[in-house]
Amino acid sequence: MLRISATFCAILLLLVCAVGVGRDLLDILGTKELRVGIRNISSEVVYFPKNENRPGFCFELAKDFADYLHVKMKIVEFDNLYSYFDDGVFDKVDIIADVLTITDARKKVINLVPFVENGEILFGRTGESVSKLEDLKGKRVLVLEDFVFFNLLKTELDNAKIGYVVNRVYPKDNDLKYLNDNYTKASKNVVEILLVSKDFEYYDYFDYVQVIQKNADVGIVDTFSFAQRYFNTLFLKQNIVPLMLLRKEVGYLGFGFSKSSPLLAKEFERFLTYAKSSGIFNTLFKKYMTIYYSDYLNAIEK
Amino acid sequence: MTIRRKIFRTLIITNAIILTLTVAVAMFSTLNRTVKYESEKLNILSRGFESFLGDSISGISNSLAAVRDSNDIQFLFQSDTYLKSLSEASIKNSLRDVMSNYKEIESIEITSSSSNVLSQGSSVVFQAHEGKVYTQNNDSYLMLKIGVNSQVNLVVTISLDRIFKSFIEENNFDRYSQLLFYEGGDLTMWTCKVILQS
Repeated sequence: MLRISATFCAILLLLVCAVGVGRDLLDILGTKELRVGIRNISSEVVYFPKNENRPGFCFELAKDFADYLHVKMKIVEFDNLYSYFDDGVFDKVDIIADVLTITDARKKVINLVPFVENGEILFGRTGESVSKLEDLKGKRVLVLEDFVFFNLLKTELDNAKIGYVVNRVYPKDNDLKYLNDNYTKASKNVVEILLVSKDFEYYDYFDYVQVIQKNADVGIVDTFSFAQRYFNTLFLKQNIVPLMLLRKEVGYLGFGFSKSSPLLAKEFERFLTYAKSSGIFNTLFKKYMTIYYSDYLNAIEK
Repeated sequence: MTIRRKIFRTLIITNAIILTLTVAVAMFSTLNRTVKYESEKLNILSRGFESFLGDSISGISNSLAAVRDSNDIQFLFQSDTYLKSLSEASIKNSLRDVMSNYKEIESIEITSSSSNVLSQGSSVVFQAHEGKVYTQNNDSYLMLKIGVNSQVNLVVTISLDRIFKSFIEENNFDRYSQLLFYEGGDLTMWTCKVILQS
């Protein structure tokens, strides 16, 4: 009996320690410091410290939250999305401020609090016309293994009974090279999914660049990032067109919290309600997206 | 001399004086009216030109807002050469569009801490200061500086001669009209006195 209890305790301890034990609201108010984990990937959506005018939507939202709590914000930079799920993350940070798509799998690991509605949008080069999934047949669709779009695309294609092949590729010298293992030649009746493996170091605008360079025909990104980039980037407006939403359901992007920081997560929810009702959120949204939050919601919920 | 003759002479002199005074008053009045009319005309014309110039400058500034606020400007200073080249090409396209809509623009440059990062159009080399009028090779230029951030600026060189020609053409003025401008002390675009001489 003692052995069973000890084993159970050990497993529980391991589970809790898997992503670290986070500090909760009272610890943060006590130390007067909010440690914010964020990727420095020169992205106006996430964090772009060199950009004086738009240092990052997530960065500014986290800063507003710190001001709301009357504490200082300390930035802890991360290399990639995956490192947020490494062991002991919440020993270093209190909150992950990034565009984390909320999925059931992720919710099991960390506490995700939604801050904005989100969908998945397909885009192509100017002149491309795809208005339904059927139109993707014979086209090369770029997805990254790192991101949730891969599974979502497969599910939608399965539901629509559209055939597809998955070919692994890796970027090299401004080109996408096929990995020789399991390469399948795609016919014109199926969709060819070009899958970039998770060990590739993603950089901002990578998907757009590949489509512009004709290494792929279609790319998938989240609507939140797309709105920011498309309306503010001249080379996207001149080379890229939005095609269609991948699915009708609207999802959410969220900030991440430790499972052991329920009060902090709850306080962030309260802050969001206040920011959305007082206009703070809308002002921030307009600054980055050039459209109002309500217009964005109308666009993705159609 | 008879009394009759004396009265006649006095009347002649009086009439002459009255006539002279009337002519003098009439001449002065006509001259005064002409001067006043010309002055008002010049005033209206100068206000018209200032307004035309102001409209052109605010139109140029508004058209360049899309470039100023774009993410592309940030990529000009990034290490990623491909993003940089895409952004350069797109910014140049946009600047070309603005310049084709505003023929009075001589050049547009993007500068960072006084070094030139990107330019479109024929650069006019002169020691320009914002809002000052500079003359070179019988052409006059205005420099307009649009701040992107604390270090980066969009510098627009506007040909004053071309703006003036557009103004003359749009208002059907004599095409031999000339633009004179005073430079009293620190002349700035918004306070300069523009006088048109037909």
